[in-house]
Amino acid sequence: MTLKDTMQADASAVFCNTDDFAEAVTYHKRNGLSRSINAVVQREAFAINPEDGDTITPVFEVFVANDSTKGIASDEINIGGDMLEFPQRVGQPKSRRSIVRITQHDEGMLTLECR
Amino acid sequence: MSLAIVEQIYEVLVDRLEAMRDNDAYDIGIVEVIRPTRVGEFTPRDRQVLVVQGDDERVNELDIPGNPPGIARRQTFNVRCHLMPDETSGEDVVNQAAADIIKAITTPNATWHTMNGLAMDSEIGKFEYVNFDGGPDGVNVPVSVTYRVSEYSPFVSRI
Repeated sequence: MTLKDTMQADASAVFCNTDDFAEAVTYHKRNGLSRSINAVVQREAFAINPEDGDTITPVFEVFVANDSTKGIASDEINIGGDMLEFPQRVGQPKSRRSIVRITQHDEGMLTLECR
Repeated sequence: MSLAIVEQIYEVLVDRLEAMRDNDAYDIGIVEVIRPTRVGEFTPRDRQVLVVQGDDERVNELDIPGNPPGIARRQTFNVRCHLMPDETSGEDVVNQAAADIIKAITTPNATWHTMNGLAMDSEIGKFEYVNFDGGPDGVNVPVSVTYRVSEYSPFVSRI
């Protein structure tokens, strides 16, 4: 097994381990299909959207494995309608948030911005 | 609770936009019309319409004397449609969205500008095309509504 293979395996087994910092979230695809995956959700401060008349939305940075079963594959994600469902604040009921951009990705992980 | 005239106008605008939902008379089916709140409970969605209150200005030349006098104001409402089309479709419906918004706001055609009898005049301004740098695109259709209220009570119209 190469270092690259190990890092890909660690993305879901270690980095997205719910015993540590990850949590179970639901990935909703634009086509209506959904599945439960593990993700690390960074709950950021509110962001002002000047393009939108200074409206305010919360911003989330979400880390998932680049994997079509345990995470989200980089070739399946569609930022035109895919959503993730998780609590806006820890302890609150889950709600859906749009994936508005992929901020970074490699063979192991995707970093997504949700609003 | 009585509503301020400007709030009643806001509700008229929202009602007209709501008519675009599940309505075959419009080319793009919108999913929701929302008013953004301080805590930002909404998430951007494809074909979502936001109605954001913009600038208020006084229109002194349209004031009328009396006791109390009638005070004229012009309120701009920014009607913003978010568009997040399927990445694989390549469709661009921004012009259709702007056209549908105008069609909805200007219904009924003969009296749309009075906002159900609450305003003296209404005007649709210049489109602003919105790009979120990788996020949702969209279009803003500004609507300026001129109305007049009692100086002492903005709940009373003085058309």
